[in-house]
Amino acid sequence: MDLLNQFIIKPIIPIKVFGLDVSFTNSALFMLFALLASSVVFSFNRNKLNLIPNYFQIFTEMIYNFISSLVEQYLKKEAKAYVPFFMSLFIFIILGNLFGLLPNSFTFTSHLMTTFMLALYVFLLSIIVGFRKHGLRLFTLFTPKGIPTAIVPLIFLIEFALFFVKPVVMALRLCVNMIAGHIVLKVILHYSVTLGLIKFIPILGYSAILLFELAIAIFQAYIFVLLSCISLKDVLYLH
Amino acid sequence: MFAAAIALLPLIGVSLGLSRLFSSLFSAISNNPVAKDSMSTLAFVGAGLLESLALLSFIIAILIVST
Repeated sequence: MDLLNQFIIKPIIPIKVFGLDVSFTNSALFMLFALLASSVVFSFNRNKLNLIPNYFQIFTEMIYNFISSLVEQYLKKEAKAYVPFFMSLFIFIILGNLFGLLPNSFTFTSHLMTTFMLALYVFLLSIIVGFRKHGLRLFTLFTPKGIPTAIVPLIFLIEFALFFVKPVVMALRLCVNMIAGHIVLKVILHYSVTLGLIKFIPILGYSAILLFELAIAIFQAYIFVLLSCISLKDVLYLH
Repeated sequence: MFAAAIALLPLIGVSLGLSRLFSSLFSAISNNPVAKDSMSTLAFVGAGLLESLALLSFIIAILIVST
């Protein structure tokens, strides 16, 4: 039983540039699939908006309302500028998670590198936005109000470290959830092969856990967007 | 194998935390049913954060078993 075989990245079109390996892998293929799927679904009703919406429009409006209400809840006045970014982040992650549940496919969000690059993007965005809005006053983010002056340096150090650990934890959470879900699914499928006469019982459990994994896939994308929203809110509105 | 069993011990803490989280959520909702939506989203976020810890220990146990 080789549980971790499903996470191997295989090059499809090998490309080498100056000794660096920049091959077109199956991870890149599924990222391209996510991009294509989202652009196809959302370009159906980009230009014409009906007063009585059809199914595609209801679907896209539902997703848009979900994300924009989440962003407005945290970023308040400046929410409008950040809704497209969080929307694309949410759709990219959710499609990555959901494509991974298809049989014989690859989950690109199950690699720490991918999720960490997404988290790093949010982190750099929050730093740039904070410096553009507040300048050097951004460093008051690390000193909460109402603490005695004797322990200010200690609190500053702790908060400073926490600020840098946050994206790592965010990336780790998404990737670990995906890996664990796929391993559990594979263990149960393995029993459905080896159990002999009663091999139909693990299939029922498998379908139940597959539904649970669908919920987890949506929920983890939501949590990722929520945490990046919170980190941006901390920077925009200092304490 | 024994090491993997030990690596699964944090599940005790996660289960205790989840039970406390949801029991306090239900008591809070019964006290103030109007604020159900905001409280339940917060509670589910907390549940997600807790679950990730459990899954992390599970991953480590799997790695210990499979290598």
